[in-house]
Amino acid sequence: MAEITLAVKSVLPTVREAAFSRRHGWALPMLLSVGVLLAMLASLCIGSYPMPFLQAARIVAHLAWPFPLPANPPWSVKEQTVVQVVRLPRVLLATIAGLGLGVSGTALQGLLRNPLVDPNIVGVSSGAAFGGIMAMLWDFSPVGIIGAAFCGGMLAMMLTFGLAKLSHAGSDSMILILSGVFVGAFFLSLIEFVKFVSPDSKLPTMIYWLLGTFVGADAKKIAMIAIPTLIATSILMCLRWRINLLSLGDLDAKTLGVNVRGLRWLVIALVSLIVASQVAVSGVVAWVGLVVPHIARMFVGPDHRRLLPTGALLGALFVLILDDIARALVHAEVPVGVFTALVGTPVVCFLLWKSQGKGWGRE
Amino acid sequence: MVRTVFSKAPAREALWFVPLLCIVLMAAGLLRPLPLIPPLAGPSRTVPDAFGTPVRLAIPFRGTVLPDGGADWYLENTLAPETLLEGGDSQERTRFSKSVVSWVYPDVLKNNWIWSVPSFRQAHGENIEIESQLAQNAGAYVGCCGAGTPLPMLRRFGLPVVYMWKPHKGDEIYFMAARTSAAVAGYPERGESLIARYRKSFADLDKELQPATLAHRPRVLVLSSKRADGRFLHPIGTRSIYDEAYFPRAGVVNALVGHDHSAGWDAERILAVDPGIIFVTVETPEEFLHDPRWQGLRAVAEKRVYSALGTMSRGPITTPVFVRQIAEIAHPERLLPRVRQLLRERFQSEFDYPLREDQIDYLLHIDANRESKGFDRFMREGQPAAPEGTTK
Repeated sequence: MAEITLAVKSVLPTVREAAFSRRHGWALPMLLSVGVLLAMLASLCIGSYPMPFLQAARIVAHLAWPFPLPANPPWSVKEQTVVQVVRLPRVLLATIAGLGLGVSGTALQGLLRNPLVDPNIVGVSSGAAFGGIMAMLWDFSPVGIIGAAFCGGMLAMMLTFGLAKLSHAGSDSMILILSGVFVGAFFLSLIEFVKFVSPDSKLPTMIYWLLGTFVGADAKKIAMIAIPTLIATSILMCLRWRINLLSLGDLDAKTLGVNVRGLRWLVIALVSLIVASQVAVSGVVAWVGLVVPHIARMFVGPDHRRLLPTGALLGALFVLILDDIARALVHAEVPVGVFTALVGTPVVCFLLWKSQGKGWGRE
Repeated sequence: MVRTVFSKAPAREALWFVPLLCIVLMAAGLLRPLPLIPPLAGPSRTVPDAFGTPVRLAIPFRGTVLPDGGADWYLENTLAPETLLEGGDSQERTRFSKSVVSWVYPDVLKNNWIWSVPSFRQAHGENIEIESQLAQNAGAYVGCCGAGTPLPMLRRFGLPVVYMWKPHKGDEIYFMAARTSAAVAGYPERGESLIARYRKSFADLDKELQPATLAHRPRVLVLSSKRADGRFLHPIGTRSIYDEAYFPRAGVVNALVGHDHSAGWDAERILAVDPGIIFVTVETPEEFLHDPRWQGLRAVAEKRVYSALGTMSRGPITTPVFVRQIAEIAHPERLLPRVRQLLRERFQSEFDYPLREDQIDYLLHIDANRESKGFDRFMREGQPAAPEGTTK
């Protein structure tokens, strides 16, 4: 019992922290929410067509407002075209993908109690990518691609857990990670094989898609990623108290009345759904699910009640900014997956150095 | 469980859902109908494109030719460089510089503005760089209906879009492109005269070669590669324009007839096909002849490996000459060596451009083909005296 008490203390706030949270707890969500929205509007101003910030904000506000557009709007048709057709879909896609990846990585790290976990490492991304690439090979519809990516992600996740169970490791996170690495490698080799046998006409699209990109965003793609991601994210947000308990360990969580098995599979299914929809629409965007939870933890600590939403919003900011860099500074449309890996690696190295190997707890 | 979860959520926790709600509202904004760019206000004319869709174009016409349309092809069909507003990016410029049309229109090659368009080729989607087009008012858009083309999106915005050709068998594609682009540029008579001369060139070849009476038709293989370094062999298949339009007129047959060419190709399969004549497009004939992999081929033993004129042009002016070159290589006994003379004549009559001897050598890959059997008929020394008025 003493162990449980200690563990609970490590994730639940102290009285002083609770008081601080009551007074200033609103500040971070407000700041981050406003930050994400401002970043989205600022991203709408980046591109070849000149677009003042206020004009972009005005157009978006009118588009989002559920009433007819003004008959003689104070913007040109070209300006509306640029915002509505070219930039807004891309900005939304980057935001939703980042949000989903941030929340998935945070949830998985809490679930497996290991800061090295992200959807890539446990094989979900590779499985989803394999499903997606097979669907592309067989000319599935967009819904078919997301379905195949989801099945691939779930299959990879099940294989990872099955392999860990076979090795009688129970919930040993290190064995789970190792299993994920093996399963991920297996699916990667399958992806390579599919690329090898794919016809020339499909190969460039497949490769570019696998690198992770938000090019070609449109309303259909937004629907494909937004519906599953926002629903799954909302459910995860509602479950964040329970993820807190789950992060104490199976035994402790069970003792506190949590249906560990059911909750774990629910979280895994939700994470798979988010990652699968993200991979199906924009390919493998690596490192976000690993880097963002670490940064979020630096801001709000390990309490998932605030960590999960912070991870989501920081993920959205992180990917949005990198996508802006990818399309504005380089002028060569570098796949954003390349950028997230390029930026993510040094960030994780920095965090490793900064934490001096003290782990991810607050102690 | 749900009740428990929500009962623990204080009201301020709802703040976390505000950005999600904003995202949903913004995403809902995408469902609004697309804004349409208003039609042209000034003088205009209407031209049908390759699909028969009427397109309203400004007078005078100026347009952007997309990479899949090809500025070289457009200029070959129209002879109207003044109508070419934009032609692509630096990659397209490099491709154009290797085309014969760049000799005729060196100013087009030198004009940085024409080649300053951010690429549509690398778009991997239809939205990329559309905004830069909207920003600089690029006139009408001329291109074709390949995968990933931005033309459907541009047309949805209400911008004038002309499909130069649509998928079709044989050389009907040339005719479509010639008719459409000449009409777009404002010179419809140019398209019809080009087609007439194209047909006449083949009629002349047919009269001289009489392919119907040929007892033997050599088996020809056109060997390309999917990589610039030639690592992946890619023979031209039996459903290409070569089989539909070129080979029958040149009195040859595709060596791949009867071979399954759906699977990938390797050296062993090429050895099994063992064609009588090989045209290479990536390696030079000299490299091919000395490659140890190909020493068992009959074409290599007989030194009947060539680099053909066809790699330099895809337009209706040089194509008949290219087919004649294949015919002269395959049936030298029936045809006089007239390829050089025809090239000179066609450039003079079509472009008013006096082709130099060194340019003809370059077009015919004379240096690369020196070792190839019977190629001396395409060299300067193997020719009758050049007609008066041509530049040496």
